[in-house]
Amino acid sequence: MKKLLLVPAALILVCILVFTGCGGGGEATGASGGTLRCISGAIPNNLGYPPEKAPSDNFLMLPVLERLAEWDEGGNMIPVLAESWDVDADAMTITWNLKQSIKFTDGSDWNAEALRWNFQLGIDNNRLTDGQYVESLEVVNAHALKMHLTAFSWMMIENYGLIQVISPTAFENSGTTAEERATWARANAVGTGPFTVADWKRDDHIKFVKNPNYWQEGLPYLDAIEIRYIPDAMVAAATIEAGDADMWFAVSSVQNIIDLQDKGLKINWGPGMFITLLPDSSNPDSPLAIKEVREAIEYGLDRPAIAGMLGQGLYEPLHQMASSTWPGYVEGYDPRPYSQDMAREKLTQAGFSTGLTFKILATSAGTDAVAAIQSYLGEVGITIEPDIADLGRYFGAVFGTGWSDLVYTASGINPSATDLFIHYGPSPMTFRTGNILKSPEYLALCAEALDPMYKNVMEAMPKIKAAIRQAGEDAMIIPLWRTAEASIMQTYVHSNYPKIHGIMWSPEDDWMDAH
Amino acid sequence: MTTYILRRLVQAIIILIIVSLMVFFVIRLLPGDPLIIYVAQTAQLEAMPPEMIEQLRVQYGLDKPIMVQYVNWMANMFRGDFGESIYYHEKVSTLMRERFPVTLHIGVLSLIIGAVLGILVGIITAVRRGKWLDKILTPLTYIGITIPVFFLGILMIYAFGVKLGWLPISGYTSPFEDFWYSTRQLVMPVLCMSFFSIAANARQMRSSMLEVISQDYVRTAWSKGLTERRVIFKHAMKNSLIPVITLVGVGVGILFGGSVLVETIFAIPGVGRLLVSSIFGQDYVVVQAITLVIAVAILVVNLLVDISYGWFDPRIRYG
Amino acid sequence: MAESPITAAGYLEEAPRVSEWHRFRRVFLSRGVVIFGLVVLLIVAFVAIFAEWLAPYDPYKVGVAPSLAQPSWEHPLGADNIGRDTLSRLIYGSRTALMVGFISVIAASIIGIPLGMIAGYSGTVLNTLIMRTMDAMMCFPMLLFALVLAAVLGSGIWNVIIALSVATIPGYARVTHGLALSIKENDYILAQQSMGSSYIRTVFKHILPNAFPPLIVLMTMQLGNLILAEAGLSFLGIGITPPGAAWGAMVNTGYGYLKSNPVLSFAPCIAIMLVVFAFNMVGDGLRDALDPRLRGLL
Repeated sequence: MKKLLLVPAALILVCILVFTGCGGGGEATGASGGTLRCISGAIPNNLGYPPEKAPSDNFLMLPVLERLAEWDEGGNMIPVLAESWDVDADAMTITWNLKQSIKFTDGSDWNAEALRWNFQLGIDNNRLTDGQYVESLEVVNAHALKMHLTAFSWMMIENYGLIQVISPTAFENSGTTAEERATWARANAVGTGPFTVADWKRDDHIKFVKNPNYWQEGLPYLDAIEIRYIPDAMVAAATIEAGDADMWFAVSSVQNIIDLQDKGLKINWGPGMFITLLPDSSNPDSPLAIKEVREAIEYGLDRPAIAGMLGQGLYEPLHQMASSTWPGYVEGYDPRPYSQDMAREKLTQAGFSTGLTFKILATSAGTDAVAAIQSYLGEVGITIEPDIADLGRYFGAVFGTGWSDLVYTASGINPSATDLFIHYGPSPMTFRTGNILKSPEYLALCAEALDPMYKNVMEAMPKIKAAIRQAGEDAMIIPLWRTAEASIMQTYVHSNYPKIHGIMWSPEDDWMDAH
Repeated sequence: MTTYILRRLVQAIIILIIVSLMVFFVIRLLPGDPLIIYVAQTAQLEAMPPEMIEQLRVQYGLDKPIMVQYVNWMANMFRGDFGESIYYHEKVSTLMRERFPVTLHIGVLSLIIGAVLGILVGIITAVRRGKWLDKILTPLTYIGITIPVFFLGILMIYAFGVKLGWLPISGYTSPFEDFWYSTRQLVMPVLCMSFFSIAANARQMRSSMLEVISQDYVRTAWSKGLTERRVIFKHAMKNSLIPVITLVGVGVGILFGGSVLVETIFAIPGVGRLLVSSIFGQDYVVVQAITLVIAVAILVVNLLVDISYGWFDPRIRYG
Repeated sequence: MAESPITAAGYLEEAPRVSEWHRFRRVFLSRGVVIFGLVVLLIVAFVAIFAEWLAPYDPYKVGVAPSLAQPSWEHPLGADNIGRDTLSRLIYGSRTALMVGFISVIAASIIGIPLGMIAGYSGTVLNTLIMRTMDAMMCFPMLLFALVLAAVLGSGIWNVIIALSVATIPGYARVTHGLALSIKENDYILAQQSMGSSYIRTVFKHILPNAFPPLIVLMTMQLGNLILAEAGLSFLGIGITPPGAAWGAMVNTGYGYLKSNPVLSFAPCIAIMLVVFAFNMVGDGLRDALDPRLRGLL
């Protein structure tokens, strides 16, 4: 059950972008055939209706629905269904040049018109990130689409490029009314991918079979992929241990990873989740509006010790608003290492030498972590009252109505540096309730990083690092640790999932030894 | 008899109305805003301006006064329209059509096994009181009424699924697809779910059996020289069954409660798990519909149990 | 077992107190398991009362032992994933268990018994209203009822107690109502009333003493069920908030370490089983001693 609660919590925060993708790599010698039997703590509930898609509907549908472009391990954008793209920052246009002679599995062509239709569907339903900057979409020729924009930043290439495309023809022919088409698309997906949907039962399993006409010659290796939904982590572990499954996606329970590693199973490490405490510092009546109080909390937490216990050595303690695996990480920057004396001193400076009481809002997945935080802060005179909420109330507060005092959050880590903007930027997509106080200096640095003069994220990186450091100076949030995440597979399975991020997967490259 | 049944039916209708009021209003007290959760679930928050949320509110009829919503809800129920899940974007009736057969399959099997095995164990331990069979089975019934269901589940999975490899670990397959595999898959969840009722029924049966055995008419039967089997099945059992029938009535409730835990552990896409995820996701359209259907099912079963007393015990008069 | 059924009229006769108490004690203590149950409950009550002195460590402090320490002399039951001593938490957990059980039972009976009484003694409309509402509540399985209520109220041990209390009210109301009805028809009571005895007086003097045996048995049995229900709710993620220690929550956390540290889940699970068993056995014993006719009804 814990897993059941954790997974949507994690997924929602992780993948606010419309992720898409597949791509090169994979091991050189792929043996063909076989059905890869996977288990997962999440399963698609909406196969092919983009306006209503949730994160697990995106990346678990990658065998069928491919992206225009995706990230490589370094966080650079690489083309998939696109051949290349041209950016004209002055004219504020992005032109997508598409790969030729690719067909959707219904036989219709992948072309500029199909891409335009997909973008338009997103814009019409308010579901295309940065869609508000699209002025018009111009089909230049069958294989080039030009986007006319009202603004430009490098992040738009990522936001637009990660779109997962469906076949317009299949969608339009599926019914006479919009409602009929939507109903059809929720249960059907027609894309360009290496697999097609063979069988799907809501909240139970989905089965993909090989697309014989896949555009990448000789791929995919597998005949079929089957994903079964098992909400309880212990049961999932037992299933793979008994050999009833070949692979287990996105495992976050540390003990299971260690147990199965000891059993000799293969582990692919993912990036994990970025765990933080967020203050309601923009409320002037809250003691958390005082920087010294936030500093006291950070000083009072022995993050290496707590992360060590919770993660059994697999978690990375954080000391800045970035993990060391992230390109925006500021080398050697640790403004507030554990010190009870400093914590008490900061509290005294803030005028709370007698102590303070704060609530921490969390889901049941965070219970142990909150208990540890509570125990440590209790020693420096900060009393914590945990408020363990169900997902409904938790997300209602975090995304909607806001929280009071502190909230314990988990957010995803992208290979690119877009996280900064998704979670903590001037207009974030996740924590956008306005609870967190952001200093003008920090906001200015965030804005500078998006200047049109930067054509990609790597060029903007110095500014991003400056923003991270500024957030540290402001004690804007309280970074805690990066959790562990892995995919676990039998030794005969070769997969690059989760190549990046836990949501990037190129299923056409997966294969199995004879077993 | 007829008047009694009629009176019970009228009562049942009153109960039904109260049940519907409770279901509707208690669940509407859930603190979160289902639309925000819906928006969160479907990601893309930035692209969901307040106007859109307002538009959704109208679409789901959440802008009307609550009494109007209640009346609409009841009217729709009678038309077989249970509304649309905010999370699944699917008709609740479709969801329930997918899930209820699964839960009922497991539930009915558990109920039967719970009753049959429970009665059998009860008779054996009563007749063989103090013998080795009693000494083994009676402590087992103690474990049955005390062990948390979810813990029993994982222990069974490790024992029979992983160590011995006898049974599939989890999941559900329709018996129409693959009867043998489906049955093998069901062994653990059904045992897990019925363990409590087996134990409770056995304890009940044992003690009422012991009491009946000592009564005059059974003693007379013995003294007439009837065989043990005849005495037990013909004379003693029927009368000892009455309290067990009550427990079977209660058992339906326990099964629906237990399905919540068992379906989560064994990864079974039944109505229990749907209900839990809907409660946590505050998808109250689904929660309302499912709790109402479960409550009605329990109401009906208990009605039947009440009426069936007369068959088992002619001494009971319907006044 | 050959106890001759006691008639309702027989009940109302003033039996000699001393022999009644002797009979009660003899029947109650006649079975070994009942004595065992009683001993378990006494031990648990003792542990709960003297938890501060008995617990070797602060149950809430993290890092008193290495994370997931195996059982040792310093930590007889090892430590959980954040280095809290399992034995100390188990000891403090007995408080939570008894608190959940007793407070829920008392709260539910305080509301349920008067409701049943009022319904039994009042006219059709009020009777129907109360008892049909109770029936309606009984149409929801206890775990589901508590789950929905707890979702409405939020997490935390007090909300769990409220949810469980509300969910168990109808049981008390029903038993009291049934007794009230059967006793109301009794000639003796009718005579009392015709002699001008007040309603309240009748209730306290004659109804409550008669309702006492079945109610005390129901309450004892209910205690075990409540502790199990709390464990189920903890498994589903609704329960005690940190740093509180509750057996159900401990099983739930320890469950994730079943293979490497089985003691983490087995210890609290066995504690739950023992206490639930003890309440059931004592309930059985009380039933046999107080009123054997209840066998099969409770």
